[in-house]
Amino acid sequence: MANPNAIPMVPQSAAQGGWKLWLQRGIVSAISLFFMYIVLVMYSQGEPLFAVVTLLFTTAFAYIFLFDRAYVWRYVFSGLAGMMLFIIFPILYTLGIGFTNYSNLHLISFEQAQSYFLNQTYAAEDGANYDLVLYEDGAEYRITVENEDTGDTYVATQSVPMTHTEQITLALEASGPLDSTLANLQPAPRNAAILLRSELDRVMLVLPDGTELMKSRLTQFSTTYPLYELADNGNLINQQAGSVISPNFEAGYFEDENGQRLNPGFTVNVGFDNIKRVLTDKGMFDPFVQIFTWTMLFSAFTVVATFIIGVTLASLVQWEPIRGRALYQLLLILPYALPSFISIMIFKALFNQNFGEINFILKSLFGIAPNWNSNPNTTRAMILFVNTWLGYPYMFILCLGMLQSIPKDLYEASGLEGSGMFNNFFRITLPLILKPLLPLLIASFAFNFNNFVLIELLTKGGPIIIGSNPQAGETDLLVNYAYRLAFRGDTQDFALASTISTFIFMIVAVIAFLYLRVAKVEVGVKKH
Amino acid sequence: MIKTREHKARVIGAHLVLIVFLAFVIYPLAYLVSVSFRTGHTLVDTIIPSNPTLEHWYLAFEQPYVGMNPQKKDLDGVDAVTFNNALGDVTFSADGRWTLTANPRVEAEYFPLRSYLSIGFLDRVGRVVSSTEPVHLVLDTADRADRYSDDVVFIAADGQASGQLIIPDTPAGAERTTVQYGNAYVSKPTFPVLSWLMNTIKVAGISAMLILLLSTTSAYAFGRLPFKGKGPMLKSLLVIQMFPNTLFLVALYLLFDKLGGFVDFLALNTHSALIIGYMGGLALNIFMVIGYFDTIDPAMEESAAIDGATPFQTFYKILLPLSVPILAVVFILAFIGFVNEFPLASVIISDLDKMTLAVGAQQYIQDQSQLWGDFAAAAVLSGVPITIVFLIAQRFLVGGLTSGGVKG
Repeated sequence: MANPNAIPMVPQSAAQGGWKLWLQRGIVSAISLFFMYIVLVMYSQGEPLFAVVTLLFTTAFAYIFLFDRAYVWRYVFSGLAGMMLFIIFPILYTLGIGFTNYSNLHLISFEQAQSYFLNQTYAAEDGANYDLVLYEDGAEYRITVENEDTGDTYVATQSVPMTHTEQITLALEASGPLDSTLANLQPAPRNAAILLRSELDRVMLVLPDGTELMKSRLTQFSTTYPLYELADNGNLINQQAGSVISPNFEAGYFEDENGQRLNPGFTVNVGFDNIKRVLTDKGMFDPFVQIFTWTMLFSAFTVVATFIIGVTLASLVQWEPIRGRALYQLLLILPYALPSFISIMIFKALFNQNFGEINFILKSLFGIAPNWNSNPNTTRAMILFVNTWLGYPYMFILCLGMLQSIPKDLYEASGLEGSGMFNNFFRITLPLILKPLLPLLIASFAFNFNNFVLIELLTKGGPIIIGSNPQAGETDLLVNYAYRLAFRGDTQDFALASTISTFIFMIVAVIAFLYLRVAKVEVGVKKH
Repeated sequence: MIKTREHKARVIGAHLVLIVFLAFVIYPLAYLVSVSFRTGHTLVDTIIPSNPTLEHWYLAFEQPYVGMNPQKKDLDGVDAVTFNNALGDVTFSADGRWTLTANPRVEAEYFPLRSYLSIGFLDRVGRVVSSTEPVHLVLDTADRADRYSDDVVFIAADGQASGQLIIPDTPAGAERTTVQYGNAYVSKPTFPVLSWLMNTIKVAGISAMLILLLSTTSAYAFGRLPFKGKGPMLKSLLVIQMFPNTLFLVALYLLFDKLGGFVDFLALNTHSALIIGYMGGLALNIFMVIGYFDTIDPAMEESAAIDGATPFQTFYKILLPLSVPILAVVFILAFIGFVNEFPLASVIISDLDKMTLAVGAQQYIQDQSQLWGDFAAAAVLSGVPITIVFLIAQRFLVGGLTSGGVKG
């Protein structure tokens, strides 16, 4: 690890004297304490994983910024922490989701699903009904109920603001019809029960004898009993019908005796099921292979086409007899300077099937009007055209820099030997710029491999591949396919999307490996 | 130069190639500007708008626009026609006499409302053969009557006006006689373009500043300070920067959903969460800065260190001032990158007035309503400053992109 550029590091030189040191310690401690508080909140809300991760970060932070031994890490800590939290952690999380059945049918954990069922209640036939009367107490509300049969009135012991989002329990006390507490309260307007209906749904009233009341109609509370009771073996027994439902940890559902599934489902580990599904299910495997092939072709074509155009233009603009080269260069970079979310939409308008300029020109010149939306091949051609337009300036800029670094005497020598323009290009220019450009070409390939925005804004992946289930688009790249699975359509299958993302991770890892091989990372060595 | 003629031909050929290519580059941009000045949201028109209007530009600047649509009523075979041109109810007799009873359809803040009346002759397919000189009408509050000259008919907001048009003889080829009038309307801005612009500048600016701060400090440690595990860490950084955040959008969404429950500024639908989320894109910038630091001779820093400067002082007072060009490049590239960023912003931000331009601009073009004109004006308004900044900075960028990061 000998580093010729390294500054002789004396940890003591970083130490500050007196009040500065104490200020530093104070600030670091305050921030650490704040984070420790968040750790506590996370832990108390039942997120031990987040709590542990935050705890580790806080510890590392406090250590690095308090002890001189870890001085160097102060420069990299924030950057590394950001990348850990927003790249590495999400990647791992994505890999993890791929092995579950996480989707909008299985959004919650088993415990949450179980407590959902345990919180279900039913109004028993023999139960009593109580009519609701709301009173206004300033900005708050006081709940009173009156037994339908006996006429007994009960008043809540306290007023509540009725802004709660979770279930609250209010105790009731018996009261006469003209109780003193109610005498100075105004009855709430009649529509209050409607405006506050969702808040009232989350109110449980407890009579003095301990009977629990829940809302049964808009202005009525009734004696309720929990619908399900937890049996020892983990099954739930329906108190009303006497049936039994049991959790199925393979499918992620509670099922009754007939195997009928009850919503909501819960998230379970399904092992390699998703990967198996992608690789064996015909409705997924065929589209997957097709999309993969298209993604590779798309990236390869883009890199080659943009490189050819870029290097040609750069050679032309570099050529000294050309006048106004600075202006040409400026104008040629324009597509790169314009935000892509604008230029892609311009092409969407230009390629409009009925009103677009391109079909207008094609029609008047050749009498054809290709369908840019529903024919897969013309749609792909459009995408390749647009992406080449968007991407060539980057290659142009790169080649311009590279061409400037080629010594001019090489061309002079070859010119004396009678070499022509094309000979010069293929024998001198290309070999000299291709080698330093190779890592950047690979990076460009990787970028286009995941060129989500282009497809999303231009075609949204359409048209749909016939026979694909779940739906896949003819022009989807792999990353758009994953996005479609996760955020579009009726299933929102996050797990399947993560499985596709896992495949993309592997492919990108291979590209990254190639990149490392050709890029030869060297740091700390002076350029000469 | 022996082959002067061939040489000249080549030069002209090169110019031709460049100019033809530039036509392809510039046409879409000219088209965008053209669409922003067209009446309505049409895509079918000449590149110089046949009927230019500033309506889309008013809306892009969040100003209401008072305009009018040309309309017509047939006069053949009827005694009189009545219609409402938004200024009021008009009765138009076949002999050319008309009366207008003011009955403005919009609030006083949008006054004055303008309209016109004229006689038009149409041929069989509805094309105008000829039309008379129009009578201009204007409706405004009564106290502003003296602002208008005599060649317009002034109508107070509760007033009445009448007059007579001379109906000329039917010209050859005309089959229908119509009264042509302008139907005034007010279009109000649908989207907060200026807030989007402000949001974008705020998010991209702060993110780029933070990226600059973190990447220079990290690059200083990686490039100049010795510590354990530096080599493998750099290689992992290089691998990491090849994974764009589009690959784990789901995870990021769920992450912010969770974190938002603990810390307010990391909640979904906040700019702070978006900015923090952007910090993942740090790795590439670190490499660019390291690449530049490597070209700076460390002798000066060493001598500063010998004179007793702390590593932070050498970094802050010696290295940073020498690296201003690369700092500019990193900032501009990061800024433009964040302005363009669409996936994460679209997932995290859901409120209309919190959106950035990249997300907001898409709101114009939905499957059912495609407001191309409004989109074009908003796009030109927001795209021009970014483009100009980029073009000014491109001198640095040509060097920065190639020298940054990796060496072949």
